[in-house]
Amino acid sequence: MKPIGKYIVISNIEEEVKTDTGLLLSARDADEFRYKKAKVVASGTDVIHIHPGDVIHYDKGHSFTMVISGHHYTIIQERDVVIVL
Amino acid sequence: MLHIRCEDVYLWYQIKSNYMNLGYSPKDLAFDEEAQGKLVSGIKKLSKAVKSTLGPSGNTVLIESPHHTHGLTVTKDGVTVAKSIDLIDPIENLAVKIVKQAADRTATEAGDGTTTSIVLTEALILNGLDHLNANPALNRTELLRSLVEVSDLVVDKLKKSGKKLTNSMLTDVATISANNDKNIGGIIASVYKEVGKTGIVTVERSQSTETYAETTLGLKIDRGYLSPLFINDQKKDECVYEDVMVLVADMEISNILQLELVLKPIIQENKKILLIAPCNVNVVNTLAANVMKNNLKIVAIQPPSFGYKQHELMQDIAVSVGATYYSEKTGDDLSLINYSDLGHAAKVIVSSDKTILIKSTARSNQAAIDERVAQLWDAHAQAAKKADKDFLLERIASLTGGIGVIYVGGNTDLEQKELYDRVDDAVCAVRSALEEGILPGSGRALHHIATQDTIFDAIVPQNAEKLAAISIIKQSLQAPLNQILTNAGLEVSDVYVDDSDIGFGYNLKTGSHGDLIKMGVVDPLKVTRCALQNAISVAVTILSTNAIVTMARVYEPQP
Repeated sequence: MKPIGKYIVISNIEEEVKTDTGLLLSARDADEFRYKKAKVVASGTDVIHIHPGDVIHYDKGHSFTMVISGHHYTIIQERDVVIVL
Repeated sequence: MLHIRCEDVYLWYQIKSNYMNLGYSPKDLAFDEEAQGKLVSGIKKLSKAVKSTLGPSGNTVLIESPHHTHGLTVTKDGVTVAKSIDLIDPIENLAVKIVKQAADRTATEAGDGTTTSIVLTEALILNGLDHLNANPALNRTELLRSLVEVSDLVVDKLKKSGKKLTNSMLTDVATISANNDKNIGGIIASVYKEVGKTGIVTVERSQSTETYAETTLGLKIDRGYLSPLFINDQKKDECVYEDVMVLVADMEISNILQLELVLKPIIQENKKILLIAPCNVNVVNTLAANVMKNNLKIVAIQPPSFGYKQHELMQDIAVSVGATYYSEKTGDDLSLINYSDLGHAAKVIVSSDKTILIKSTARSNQAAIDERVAQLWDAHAQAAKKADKDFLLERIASLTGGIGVIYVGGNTDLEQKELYDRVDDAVCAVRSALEEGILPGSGRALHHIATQDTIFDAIVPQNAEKLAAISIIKQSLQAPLNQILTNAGLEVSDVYVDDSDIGFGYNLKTGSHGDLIKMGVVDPLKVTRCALQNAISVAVTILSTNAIVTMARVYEPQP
């Protein structure tokens, strides 16, 4: 699987979100944040700074999901990535 | 004989509508004897229905009324009887309305004494007219002025003869006011003993057939937990925390992060918190998840009541726990709330439909609470409606920290309603007795003033009007005692032979003579005083009426 151009294939990381104070946020609270956490599965041919295996935060408003051979993936473009951890 | 013909029920009235096109509605006028005759006959009708309930041998009255459950009411309560009466004749009905107003005022002020007030009103008016008719030379205005003057003397005398209520008499006052139901008297007295004399007792309908009392020493809020996941005492389905911080706000918490500043110390120091604020579903879920998975000690409830009442109650809660009240109405921003804005309670018990806060002194300011209670008592003294008064009393109770609720049960709605009225009366009577003291009951206090007292000698100059006024008052003050004896089938001369001492009288229940106060035959001073003052006020109004204007109407059989 090789994405073309600036596209990146990622897989969402679902985890419990806890604030610094120790307050547990529910999935819906976490959903209210614009940016989500994910792991990069494959990066496009023109993508330079992001590599498979990186954990990133991306803008979920510009993301789309698709199913490839039974796996759920999310597709974004390079410019939707805000942070590489 | 006064009785209502049954065909009257099927009559309906209509204002003469053919005149309506003229742009005015025609009036019927009545003057002098005709007017007063109608007023008197209206009062007589009302009084006849009401006064048969007076005293320990009072009779029950059966009322058909669409306003009551199943269309009928059985009662021994004078107010209920009076309220149900409207007469078909417009002038008679005016008289009824005036008397009802006075009776209602007595009931609102003192909680009891409606019947006494109506009996006194009737006696004052009839005696007044007798004197005016017998002696046409009397100056009516002067006579009415003298009536007020003499009645003031009587009120002063009553105030002087009031005795302080002791614990054992509390039961007697309650029993008498509940129309001599010892069981009810006992329940009321025990509740007052628990909540203390400054405590508040309210009456509610029971869901079961039993009549029982519950007392709460603390602040009660009629709201339960927002999610059953907050329960930590599974046996009782309650959430119980001790040493709890309290957040008081009336704006919706839509995002849990708004509370971050407040929750931080709670989480880190492992404290407990009660949120009194509307929360959206998501926040409730998040809080519940934190309670279940994260072991935080949080419980959230809705603010009590609605509208202006909610605002008032929330202020009370904030004052009593020492919290800063965050309100939309005052433009507060919830995300600015921090730890020092929280109040503190020694214990909270949250169940599915109510919350009880046991107060602590950690954060609250006793002076602020006392000031607020004083303000509420002022408002209570000024409130005109019973519902307003009750609401204020509940608030005072929740601030002073003692509230007793008597749940009245009954096998049928009818029985429950009748009992409820009596218990409500009795509770008010006890409250009145605690406020101003008590007098010998059974109408004896007024009767004694009329027959034995020398206060009337103080009236000078003793002209014809003054003498007439004294005589009217003297005769009228005997009316309640006479009526109580009449209801028991007795005459004054049967039981009162030597009656020189004010406390000495006849106990109808035991059929013996003795010290009335010792025997527990007592009336709250406030009840007797209000009944007399309101009766005088109505009597003077009616006696000074000479012309009556009513809407002209015709009565036709219903098609």
